[in-house]
Amino acid sequence: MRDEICELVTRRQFIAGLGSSMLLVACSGRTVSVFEPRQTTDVTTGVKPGLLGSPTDRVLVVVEMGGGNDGLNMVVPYASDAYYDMRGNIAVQEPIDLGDGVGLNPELGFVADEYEAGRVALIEGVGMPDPDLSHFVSMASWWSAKPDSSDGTGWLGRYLDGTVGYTEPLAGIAIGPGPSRALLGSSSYAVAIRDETGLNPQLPGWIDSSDELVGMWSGFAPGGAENENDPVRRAIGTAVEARDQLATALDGTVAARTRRPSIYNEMLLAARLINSRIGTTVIYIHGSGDFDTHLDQAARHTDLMAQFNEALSAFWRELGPNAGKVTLLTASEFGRRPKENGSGTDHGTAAAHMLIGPKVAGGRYGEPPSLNNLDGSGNLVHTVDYRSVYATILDEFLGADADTILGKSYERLGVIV
Amino acid sequence: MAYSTGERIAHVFRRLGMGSYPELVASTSSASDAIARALDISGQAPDVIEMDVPLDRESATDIAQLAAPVQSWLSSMILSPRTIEERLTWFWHNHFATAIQKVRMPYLLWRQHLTIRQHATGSFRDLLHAIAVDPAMLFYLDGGRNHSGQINENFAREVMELHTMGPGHYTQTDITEAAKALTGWVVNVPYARTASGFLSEYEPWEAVYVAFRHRPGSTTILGSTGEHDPSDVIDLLLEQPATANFVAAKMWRDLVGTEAPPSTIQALAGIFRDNYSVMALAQAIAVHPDFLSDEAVRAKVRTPVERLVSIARGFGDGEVNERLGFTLHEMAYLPFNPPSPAGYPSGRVLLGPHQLIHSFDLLAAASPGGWETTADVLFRAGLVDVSDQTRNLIDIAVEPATKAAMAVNSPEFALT
Repeated sequence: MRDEICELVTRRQFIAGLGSSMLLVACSGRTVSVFEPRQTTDVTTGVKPGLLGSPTDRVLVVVEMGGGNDGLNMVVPYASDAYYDMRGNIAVQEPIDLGDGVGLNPELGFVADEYEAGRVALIEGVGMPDPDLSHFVSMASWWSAKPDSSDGTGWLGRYLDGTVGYTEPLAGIAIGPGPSRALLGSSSYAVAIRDETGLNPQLPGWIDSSDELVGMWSGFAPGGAENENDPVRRAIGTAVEARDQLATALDGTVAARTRRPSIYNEMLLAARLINSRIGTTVIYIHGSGDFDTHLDQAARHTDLMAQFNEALSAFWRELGPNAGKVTLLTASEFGRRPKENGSGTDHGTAAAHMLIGPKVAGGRYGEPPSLNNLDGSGNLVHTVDYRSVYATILDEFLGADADTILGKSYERLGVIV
Repeated sequence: MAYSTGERIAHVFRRLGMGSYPELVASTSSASDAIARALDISGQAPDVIEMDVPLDRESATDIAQLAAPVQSWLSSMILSPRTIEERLTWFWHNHFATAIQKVRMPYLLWRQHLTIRQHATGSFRDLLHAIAVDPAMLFYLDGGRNHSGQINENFAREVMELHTMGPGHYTQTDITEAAKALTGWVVNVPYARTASGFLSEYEPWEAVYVAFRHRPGSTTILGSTGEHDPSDVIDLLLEQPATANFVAAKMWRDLVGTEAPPSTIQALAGIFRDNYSVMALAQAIAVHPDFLSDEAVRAKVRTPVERLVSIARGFGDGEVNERLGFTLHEMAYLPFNPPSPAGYPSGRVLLGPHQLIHSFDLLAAASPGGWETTADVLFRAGLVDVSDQTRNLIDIAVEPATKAAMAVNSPEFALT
């Protein structure tokens, strides 16, 4: 098997090398390019790549629940009369009891088992100061973690800037319908893939094979010192390299084409990328499910929870012995309003989030926001800044300089063992 | 970098139209002539499809019906002589972003498209009023669910944040109050079992103002107190100086591709506010010296839609095949499906490996044959000033198809 992969890699690289400046190949599953960019000082942080922390063998997987996940129906305050008063007929009636008046959505059976095993940290009351109830403003904050900055970078993009720079285009991978702003850096790239076919053009029948075409195209990449600062040429070089490495990593994986919801396939793919050891440090899964449950929440949110639970279960099963290096984090722009609107819930503020994995010291963190002390828009008052969760992950799990990446020091939650 | 006159002419058409226009570039001798031609909307309007009116909600929610509107729109972009109309129609779709992912009814998105097309080069005032009660928008931002018994703030917030003033010019109270005043509109869904039911005296799918769904009483919005109705809210937004500033700055970024100094935006906003003439604003931007400056030329990353129509115009046979919708979808750039109410991504994110690799997919817009030499290919790709490296690589390619593939995936073509 390994020889077959080696042969394939060699052939692909050989073809890719025709008419290009990319030639060096080692049959080790890693491609070396002759145009490795020199290390440059990051103009925004003034530090050289590598100084914000070193790439480790740890992998962070973020699952973004776009639209605003209802934290109250995920981590249910079942002992609160106010919860049932405000939620009416969309209240979760029989949560899985975790004790202390808190239960998990009944669809989250796998999560409950993991919680019992001490591998789930529930962080309650996660939100932001001066919450803006707009999807886009809120999500932009979650992506950037520096809402006052207009540079467009994401928190994980800056982590990649400060660790691998342009040298590891597969250190950050988004799985979903396209790139994620969370992974956008100022001196690093992230790859976006949709499925196990990786990065491949879908060509019309009248044109030559992808390999030959991409091989020739790689001639636009900077060669040596020439054009090395041209952002478009650099981008082309990076694209060629990323495609080759992904093809190598995903060769031989069994297609996960099922009729299951996309979150299932995406999490399975994430597990396979981790298992392939291509040096990926962060995987950002997004675009799965519409959590913006203004309407029909009872049915829709139940489905979303069930899909998430099933995908999580498959993810950890697929990881097998590699599970030890992985931590999973949920993200969502906001929670939902405690008072239901007739059939759903409007935009809210704080919500519970989860960190899952063997490196996590399981239990409850943060503080559940009071349902009897809502803000002026009838929403929860957050108790944990979302950047505190990020700081915890960056510092405690990834060993990175969280304060520099986030532009400020936020409290660490002590969640990682 | 000093660009040639030809490249500047190409720049004018790329920015005041959708994608590259090789034939127009070839027949134009100066940048100012190019601007005049690009702003000329006297040419024949493009043919657009007519869609059957769905009989009920179930038959309306067939996603396969989106193929025809996508094809029709792409065809207009490629073929219409009214270049600025195509540019602005896309600009307003991005501005009033509405997505099939939520609306689910292609017929309604097509209706909205025709509304935008009708007003694209007209009055922003008329356009904003039309969009505020547009059936697709009433679904997308939940305006149809905003009624006296249950206030829904979604549209009230986005119309302020994204469509008119931009962040920082209003409070949460303004949003809540505006949401109350905006109550009352519904979409007249045939055979609907909603609170209002189907109103047989109105056309199916028409937006209808239902008085009993409007929340009566006084509201205070942006300092104005009174018994505001939905139309009053839109007028109040149009009265805010921030609105003209916001839209002028956004159109400047779209057409010029740079950040304008505040004084320039103020001056443009002054022109725009006069009667909210879209063409007066576009014209003022196009004749500003910055528009032709070296900083503006190739300052932007060419979007997948611009890539596609450029390829189709230069290398296609005038037919728009159905597959192209899927191709754009892969690049998260499908017309009628912006990823968020804030519109489509732009800039550097479009240079990621995913976007660049899948740019090859857009060759599906070409029809093989008819071009041979490097010069042919560069002309059809609308590339005037190119580096020796790019020219050499296209020279090296043996097959004409490969030459075209290299030209439209060259570093120069990636920018606009």
